[in-house]
Amino acid sequence: MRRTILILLVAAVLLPGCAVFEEDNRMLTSALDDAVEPESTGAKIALSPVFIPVGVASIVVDAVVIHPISEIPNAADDTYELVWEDPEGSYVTQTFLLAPKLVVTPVVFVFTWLGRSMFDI
Amino acid sequence: MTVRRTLWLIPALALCCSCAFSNRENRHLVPWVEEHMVPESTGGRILAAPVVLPVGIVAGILDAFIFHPITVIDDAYRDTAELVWHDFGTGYVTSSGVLPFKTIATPIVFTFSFLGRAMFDTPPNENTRERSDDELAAWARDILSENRGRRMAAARSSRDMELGPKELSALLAACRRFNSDAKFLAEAMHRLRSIAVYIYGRPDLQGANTIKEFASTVGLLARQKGADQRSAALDILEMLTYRLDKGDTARLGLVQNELSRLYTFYVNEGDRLSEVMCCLGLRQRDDMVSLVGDAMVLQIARSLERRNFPAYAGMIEAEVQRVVWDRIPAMRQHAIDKGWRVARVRENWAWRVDVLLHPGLRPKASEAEAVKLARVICGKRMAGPREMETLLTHPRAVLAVARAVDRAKLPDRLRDQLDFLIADIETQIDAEDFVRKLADMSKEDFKAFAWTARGVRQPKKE
Repeated sequence: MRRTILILLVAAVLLPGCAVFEEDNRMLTSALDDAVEPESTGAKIALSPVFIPVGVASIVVDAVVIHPISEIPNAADDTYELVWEDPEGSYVTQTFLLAPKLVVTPVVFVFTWLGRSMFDI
Repeated sequence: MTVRRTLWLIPALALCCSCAFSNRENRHLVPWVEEHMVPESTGGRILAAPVVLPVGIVAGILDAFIFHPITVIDDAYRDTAELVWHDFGTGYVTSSGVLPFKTIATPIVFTFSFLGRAMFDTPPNENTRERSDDELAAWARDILSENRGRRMAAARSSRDMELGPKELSALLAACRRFNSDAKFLAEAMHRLRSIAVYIYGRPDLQGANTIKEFASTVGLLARQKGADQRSAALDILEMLTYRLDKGDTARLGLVQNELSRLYTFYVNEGDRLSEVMCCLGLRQRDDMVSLVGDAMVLQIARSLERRNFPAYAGMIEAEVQRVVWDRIPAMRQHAIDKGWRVARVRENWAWRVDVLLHPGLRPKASEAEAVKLARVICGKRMAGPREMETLLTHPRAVLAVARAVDRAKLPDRLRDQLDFLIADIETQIDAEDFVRKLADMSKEDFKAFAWTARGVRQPKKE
């Protein structure tokens, strides 16, 4: 019970900023929207047994697969900007900083990638 | 175990501070008991206590667990509709796909919203049903009531969005009539500020007479003694200048006209804090320019010049200069078009000195000069606003150093930074000179400036 409440609270806090809420971040679903446009109410009702599960699946695929993949280049750019761009200090300082930067790079990449995958940034 | 249980008291106590029951508006039976069952005399109260206390406790329990929760159901319903059932996407597949999620989320969101609203004192949903005309008329009568309790209860009522022009007029009349009642004025001014916030998109509250009455009444309150009251009143006027609908600039002019009078009043009275605050209402909107606002710029610039730019008025100067800055498109192209003088003192100077001291940029011949300059500027910054005027002499010195740099030897990025730096300082010097000129302009010249700055052709002289 406690775990359920905790999950609900976390979901309530995180969901409003969810990436998939933004139309630009739903590539597959938007493509399906353009392809399937039933005009009459009757057609909409008739197609609903098919397109409710299809819609759910496409939103899930958008959220879990397509959008995260599309954010990899942005996360790489973020990592480059944060860690490698505009090095400051002398040649010796830069040499000293090389090892920590190498260690930090994957960590920063994972954080920015996860952030960009989950939220609309 | 006992300690653990005791620790639970801390969040419980914290939550009780914002408990729904703490707001009188959320109690329905208890006020009735207070009004009808509590005798006025102390003796009577003692005698009635054995009956009144248990009845009061039962009334409180019924209020907390039955009546108040029932009254928030419509708010929770509207919260759920807004949060869950808003347009997620217009496509058929998107709408079909989100349907199961919305269906699952609906009871959860409703339950959370209902429980939250039932337990804590939360403002009503903006779309909550409107009060009936009778209720609003009763509110307008209460706010003008000679009975202080009734008047205070009406002033504490927080449904400002439902108030119309008649109710606003009654509230303003109450502020004028009971202007010696400080507690009532504090509550009423909360209402007025809230109305100033909500006035956007409410043409019924933006009639010329209503705005005139609003501005003049708040102006009256801003003249009374007491720093808090003056500050609150000026805050309302400032908010009003921001929130009026785009359109007829005459309404904006009415508010700025009041601010202009207040400015003179504060200067004459020597109230420096209010003088500075008054000028915040000068900030122009991007979508609306008023000639009264322009005239106020001139009035303030001249007033400052007459008083030889008092040290405390740095913030006002910044505002005046920024308004001038906004009016001239050639200056707007630079990134520093917001509060540039303040920004320059607090941050931009440090950035400029950093640029000048950058190893790739610093020319050897000017190195000593740049370091010296950096020390002087940092020293002035640390000294505070009193050194503002001295600081103003430095742009030309920094410009000289920046111009002495051999651009050909610089990498592209640093050359761009240097060009930006030079353009930035030159523009600031121009703006500063312009403010001086503005203060000296004749009335006719200023009027011409106001017209041309807005790209409007000057009307022909008859």
